[in-house]
Amino acid sequence: MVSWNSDILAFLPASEQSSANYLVTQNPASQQLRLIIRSNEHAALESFAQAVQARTQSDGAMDWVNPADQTEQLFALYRAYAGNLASDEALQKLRSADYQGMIDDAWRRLGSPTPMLVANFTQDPLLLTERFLTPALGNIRDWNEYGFELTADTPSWLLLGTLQTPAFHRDTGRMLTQVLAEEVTRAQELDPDFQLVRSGVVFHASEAAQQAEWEINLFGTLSLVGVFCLIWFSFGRIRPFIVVAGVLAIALLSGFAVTVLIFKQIHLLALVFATTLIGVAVDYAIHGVLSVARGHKTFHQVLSHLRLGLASTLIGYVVLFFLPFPLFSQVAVFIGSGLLAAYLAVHFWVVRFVGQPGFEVRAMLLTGSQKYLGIFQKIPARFNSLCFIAVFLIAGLAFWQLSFSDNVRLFTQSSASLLHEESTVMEALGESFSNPVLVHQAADVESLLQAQEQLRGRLRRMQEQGLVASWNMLADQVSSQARQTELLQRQHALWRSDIGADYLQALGMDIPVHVNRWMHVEQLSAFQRQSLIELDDNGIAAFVQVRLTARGVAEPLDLAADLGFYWFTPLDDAAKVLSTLRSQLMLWVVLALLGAFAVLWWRRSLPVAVSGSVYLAFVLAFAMWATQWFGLQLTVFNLVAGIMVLALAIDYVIFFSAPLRPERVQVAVGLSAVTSMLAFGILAVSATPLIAGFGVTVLLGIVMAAVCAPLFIRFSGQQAQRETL
Amino acid sequence: MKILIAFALSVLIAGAVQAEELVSRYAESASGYYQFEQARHIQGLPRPVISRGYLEVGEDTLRWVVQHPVASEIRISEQGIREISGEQDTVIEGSEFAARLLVAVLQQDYEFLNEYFLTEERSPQCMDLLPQRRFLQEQYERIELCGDAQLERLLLHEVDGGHTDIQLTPVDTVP
Repeated sequence: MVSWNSDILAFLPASEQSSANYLVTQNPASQQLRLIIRSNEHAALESFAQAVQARTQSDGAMDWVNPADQTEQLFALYRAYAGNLASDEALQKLRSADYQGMIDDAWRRLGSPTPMLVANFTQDPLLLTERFLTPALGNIRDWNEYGFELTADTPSWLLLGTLQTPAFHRDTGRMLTQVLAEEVTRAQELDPDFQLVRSGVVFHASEAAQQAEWEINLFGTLSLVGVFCLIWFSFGRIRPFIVVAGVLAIALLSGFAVTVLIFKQIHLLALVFATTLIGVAVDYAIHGVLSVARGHKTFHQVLSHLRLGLASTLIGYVVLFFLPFPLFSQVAVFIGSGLLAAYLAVHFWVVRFVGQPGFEVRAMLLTGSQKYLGIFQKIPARFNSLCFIAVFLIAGLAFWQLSFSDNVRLFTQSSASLLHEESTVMEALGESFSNPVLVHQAADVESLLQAQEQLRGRLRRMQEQGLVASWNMLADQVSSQARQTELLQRQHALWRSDIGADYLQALGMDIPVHVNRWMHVEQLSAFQRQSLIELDDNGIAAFVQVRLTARGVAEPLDLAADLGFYWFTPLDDAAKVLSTLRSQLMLWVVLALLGAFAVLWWRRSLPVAVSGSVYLAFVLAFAMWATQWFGLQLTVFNLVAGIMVLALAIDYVIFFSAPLRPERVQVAVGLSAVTSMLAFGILAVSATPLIAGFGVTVLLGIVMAAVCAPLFIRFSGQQAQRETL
Repeated sequence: MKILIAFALSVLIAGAVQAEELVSRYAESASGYYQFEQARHIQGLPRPVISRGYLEVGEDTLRWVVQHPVASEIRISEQGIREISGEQDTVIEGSEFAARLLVAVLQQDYEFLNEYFLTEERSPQCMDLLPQRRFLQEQYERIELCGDAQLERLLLHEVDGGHTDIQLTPVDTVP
């Protein structure tokens, strides 16, 4: 069973992922989603919440938090362990034996008319746990069985859910989006002003997946329509049209089948890139169809050059396959196997049409090609060499001016409306995109909680300095065993003191009997434990969300490095990984050029190899430079696009330097180039920035490669002489 | 089943009177000074915890000054509860709702009370506020307000079986 992935970070190599990105993959928070619904009609709120939760829970896709149950369980839990949790300030008073201060605090609390939430007085006469938890629990306005009610002008409910599958699973995201859309429509029948605001990775993933699917269909269809129009225009007959369509169908089906067989999980972006197979495979179909009319000898000559072209192109895709990008490995398998199938289709199927009528290209195309080639034939031989030297220098200069960015935020962009919804939810819950997150890894929960307790002391000092506003950590919900033990022992010491005994006597109580039993993390609900991540190696990690004040944002805080905490910045870490990969990719590009040089020297000649390599380097440099000139930021994907350009352009060198009739080569290369331009050019309008950038670079590269390729017709005659000898 | 629910609802609605009608009987109690004695009956304790002091009811604020057993002062406003002890002035975080409730009861804020409570007449002198929200239902079973022309007694019946009995005596000046 193949699953479909749309995670934008999924292209990162698994072997080189940073620890932060590893945590992203392990983090259950990516499966959490938050919905805020607003309406003045209680019935609309209730019917929406009830229907959405029932529809998504019944098939096991989602688990929703029932605040009524959860709160009841939580209060009961804290009552059962009253006395095991206390604030740092209270513990400090106990440590310094400030018993009178502790008891005065308790009297004040008892003298206050405010209600107690989790007090268990006989177990915790100092009300330590009550005083510690009241700030956290008291801000909730109300709740019901579906969600928490938020303080707002319009009644609003916050619904919290957890996906039972990864957030990037296509089917879950699609189902959830559909259910929400349907239920919003129903709720708006009860109240036209009913509003839904969504927050969660799944919505961004679902939107990206829908966009990718839409683009696959659109680009694939447009490419095919463009190719077929071109074929009809070039031949004006049905038979070439059927042969080209057949070769393309074989290529696409083979590419898809092999990819599905090899990879268990297919990235949707890989399929978007893979639609470009149409533009490459059609080269083979066109070369085959054009030579059908020239008889068996010519057909087999063309086949030998096609094989060379296939071999050199496959080298490019093999390079792409072995790049440490899982996404491009899938693209390479799809296009590589599709091309192989296209060649085999030409070799074993198109050959059956050799000698049959109806495959002649329109005369005007041949005439046009001759005229165009005439321009190149007029160039003096010496000037031709000068041209290559100039091109070499220009390529060097262009490379010098290239500037890359490794910011992964440039790769994809959620829609403005979805980002607005996300920020609305965060604002309603007092969160912000700029809130930094600390992460800590430990061998077990106990050492993790102890580290958080130390961190909390430091955060509190920063709070007093006006740098930190608040924080959210697991240690605020459950204490380490060491702390619980100390707290119980110190309370016991207080009760044995005169001051403690007087307090108990005033209340008419005996000394509380503390059985040494500790509250554990496992007793918290799954939702409360969401900041905790169990790692594959039996270790454990936890996030701590810190809200900084304006001053805290302005001052860089290195608050917890010595405690083993570090800032959790998965996107920045991904950028560092990308930077390393980009350097590796540069090396692969150089190796690809050397490979092209070797192939051309082996099958053609040293001059063809030298000038061919200069030409390829120029085309590559131009594609990059022009992309940058158009105001697009170069990323690692443009470099991968450069490899695609090399794979296509080397075919042009092979065919123009081959002893074939130049005007026919020009027609074939011209048609191939235009179809490739169609396939890749369409990518340039993609809503996903990385695909658009990729498309622009390949399009510009092909344009330049096709325009300059006839420079190699000079070597065609030399090659014919070599083959005759 | 639907008939049963409808019947139960009709009984509840018939028994309940709007808070405005009931609370308005304490029309004279809006602002001023009161002495109080609070007896907090806590589950597991053989006798109530007694505290005494006075309270000052302003238009939007309430000062709850405890004189016995430990001197302290609580200032309650819609923004929350601040505890003042000696030179320490501490905001009790998360106390906004509790503060709002107390101010509403003493200030006869019908709009607020109607939103959160169902009111029932218990006797000619007393009425019950029955919490309608989960958050309140977790804490209070009911709140009893008693008095003839003025609010004289508040009884907070908590869900764990404990209750807080607050006796109020109006005074002219700060005791």
